[in-house]
Amino acid sequence: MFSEADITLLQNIVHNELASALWQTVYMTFLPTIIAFAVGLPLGVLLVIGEEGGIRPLPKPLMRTLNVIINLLRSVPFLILLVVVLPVSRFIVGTTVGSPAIIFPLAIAAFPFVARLVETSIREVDKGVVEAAQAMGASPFQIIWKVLIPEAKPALISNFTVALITIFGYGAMAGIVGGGGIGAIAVNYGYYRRKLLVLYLCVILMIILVQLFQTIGNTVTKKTDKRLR
Amino acid sequence: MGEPIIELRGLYKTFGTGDGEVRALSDINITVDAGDIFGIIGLSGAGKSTLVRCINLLERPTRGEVIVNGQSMTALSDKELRRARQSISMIFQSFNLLMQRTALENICFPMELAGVRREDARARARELLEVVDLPDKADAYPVQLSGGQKQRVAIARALASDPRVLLCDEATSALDPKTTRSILALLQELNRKLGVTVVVITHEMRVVEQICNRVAILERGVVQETGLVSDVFNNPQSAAARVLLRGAAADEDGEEAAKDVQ
Repeated sequence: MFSEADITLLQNIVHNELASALWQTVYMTFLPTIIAFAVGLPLGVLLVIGEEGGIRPLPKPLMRTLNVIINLLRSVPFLILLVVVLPVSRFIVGTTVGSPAIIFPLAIAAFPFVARLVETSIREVDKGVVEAAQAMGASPFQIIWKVLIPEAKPALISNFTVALITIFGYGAMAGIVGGGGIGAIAVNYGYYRRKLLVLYLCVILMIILVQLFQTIGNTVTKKTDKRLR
Repeated sequence: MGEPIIELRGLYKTFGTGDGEVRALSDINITVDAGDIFGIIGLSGAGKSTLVRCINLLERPTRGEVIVNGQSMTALSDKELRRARQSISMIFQSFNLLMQRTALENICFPMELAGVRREDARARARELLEVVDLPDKADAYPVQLSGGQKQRVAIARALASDPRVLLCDEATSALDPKTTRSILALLQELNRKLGVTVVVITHEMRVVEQICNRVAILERGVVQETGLVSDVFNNPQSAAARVLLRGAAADEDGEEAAKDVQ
């Protein structure tokens, strides 16, 4: 079914490129997710506390602008956004090719999505608990740090896993425009040169990685949630 | 009794504007004296919960004055209001404990807000667990506690800031009759021992009967009658009071009948 040349190629890739590609995939997934959370977490919290009737209502035009920006960024498909934002990478990283160049576009593509995930997690916190904290004289800042985020922690961790896996998928797609990692190997050998054996290997590795992320995410979520005892 | 500790003067609260305007409270005048266990009773929708939330300004009255501990609450800045709230505690029908914290950490919460040192707060929290008779539940999470135990933790948490006033919003409505009686007995004991003034919001006459010394009857946002519990029970002046008393009598008959069946 596969020629000897195919198998030799596969062996070469496994020996020479795979370890580095795996590592690139991992940091191309984690770094943008962390950056996206650094921006998306405060933004998501703001979306909840700033609305009318929230614990610290903000001016309506500001809230509307925030929502419009998030929706705009979320309506652009990732690959197109990537092409639009790549020049920013040249500015920050100095290049538009390879894994480091992909990190910022990935983070920019993901943070609005993360902001929405955080928003839903924070909204799940029981309003009665927030009211109790207000009745005890908690300031908005104290409510955010001592009530909203700790009470939403299991949901936040679970949504971190969702974001991680989505960004992992984005990162693989970025192989098409010169990103690195397993996605790039799949695109370069499997798609452009029709080396199916290499493609299958990449697909299997991706499945294993996603399973791993999800299992770890689920375990940590369950361990964190004190409502499950 | 003591000097007035809560005074509501000409209080109005309306929700919404224009055609959607709903008047929840009209011209409420209530004085609670220090040391009282004051009951506010009414059927659901009477405005009890809105009324109690006007005392700590979780709801801002549309008009009128709220004076607690000699302070006019509506005149305070946000910061002063947060400070004032630390001496007005509140417990709820749904307990409202932090689900991701243990009982002990829940009781520490108001002390954290006030900047009490961690070790001091934990020591005080342990004392309070003794007060509410749950010394062995320090490390339990709310999900591991029964309804009555959760309310005891909530009461301990409410006491952690050494409040002068304890507001109870349907605090026993989610509990069975036996647990209700024990929680009410605890509130009564705290009132006697610590001198905390207690305001009890309820729809059950039995609650008022068991612990309150004074009562206000609320119907459709209007106070129909206020007075000593004994006076209102023996000689109700308003139709609303008579309806509530009849309801309570029917409940008791029901319970008697249930006992007979058993």
